Amino acid sequence: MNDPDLFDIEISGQIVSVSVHLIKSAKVFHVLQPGNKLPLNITVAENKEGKRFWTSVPEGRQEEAEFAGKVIAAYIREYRRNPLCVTTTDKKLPVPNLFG
Amino acid sequence: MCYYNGQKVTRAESIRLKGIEKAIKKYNFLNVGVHNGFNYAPCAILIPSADGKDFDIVQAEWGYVPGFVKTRNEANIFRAKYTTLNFKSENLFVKEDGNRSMWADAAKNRRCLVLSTGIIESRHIPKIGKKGQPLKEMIKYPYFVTVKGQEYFFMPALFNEWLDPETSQFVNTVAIGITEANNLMRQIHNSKLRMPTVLTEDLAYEWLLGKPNEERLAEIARTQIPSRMLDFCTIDPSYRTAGDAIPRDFPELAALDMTYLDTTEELKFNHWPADLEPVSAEKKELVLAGETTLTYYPPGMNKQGDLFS
Repeated sequence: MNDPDLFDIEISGQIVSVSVHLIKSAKVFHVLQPGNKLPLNITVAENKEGKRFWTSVPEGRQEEAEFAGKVIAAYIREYRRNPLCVTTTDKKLPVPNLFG
Repeated sequence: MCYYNGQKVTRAESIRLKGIEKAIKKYNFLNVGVHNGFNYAPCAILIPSADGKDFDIVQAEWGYVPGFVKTRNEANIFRAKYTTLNFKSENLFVKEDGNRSMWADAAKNRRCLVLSTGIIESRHIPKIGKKGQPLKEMIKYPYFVTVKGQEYFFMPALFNEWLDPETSQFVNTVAIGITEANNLMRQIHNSKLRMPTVLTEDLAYEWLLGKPNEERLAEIARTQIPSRMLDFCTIDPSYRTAGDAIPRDFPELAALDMTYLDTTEELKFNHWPADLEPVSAEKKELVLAGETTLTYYPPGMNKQGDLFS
């Protein structure tokens, strides 16, 4: 099962939309926040010690990136743990939900 | 030593991140308020993934460009001449003259979905002259139309990967499906009497990832959403420049006929489940059972039959 491309998460009590985009072979999470806040783009980078970390792209919103990244990671982990399961009594294939 | 967002990173990682930054600047995400088709700006589309089991979100220029168009200039002339922002669903495989349609190949091999939160169409009302007579000149009142209870919806679309010789890069170009207008859209888009095809989730799945035959594809493309499933409001005409649909009332504008809410609309290609937004007359239906109990039968649930007959 693939990870979802579009989903909603809760950050600081607000629902924000996240869309996933493949840009230059990197997974970029585009976080749309309510109100007049600028959308946030985050991705996973690797530091000199080989440790992975969340970063905003472009630079400058590291704190937000780390916070949103943690929530996104938790959402995806949970999503992978609880795959949608459809049982059916007839021979028709279940129709997967487009929205994951 | 290289740093990125305060973290020590290798030179290679720094170059990679800077590359993503540069690409992001040119990348258009989903959060565009209003897409004006005639700008041919990029929008997000859903295309089947390589294994055909899932979908990817990619960018596409709104305005289909076929492979035989050789230059960017030719592409713009082609789009202006033929208005390939949309395709007529009736002509998906065969044109009115009986010949094979230019969309046929894309309909078989390059189907996609366009995600939208709402559509904007203008109602044309003739200006009134000094003597009270209607003039030829029209006033356009823009309407923002959404699907009730759905934050976004899917439109069937066709895309083509076109090689832009000036940049040597492949560019996706896309056209959305349009169909015969329902009662509401006939009043709003009264100059053309057409509307975009809006699909149910199941039909969107079938269009994108299923293996329907030509007949079925043509049927899906012609889907007409019933009027009562739609919400609408007039908006400020500045939506093109403002990039947002801001509700605005026009006191001089006559109200639309909304009797479609009370009757079952006759649409040849209505593939929407009736119980999603029942006819309001049916909603009010109350059946007296016995002398004191009122029983409401929700749409889709039949009245109880006579147990003894």
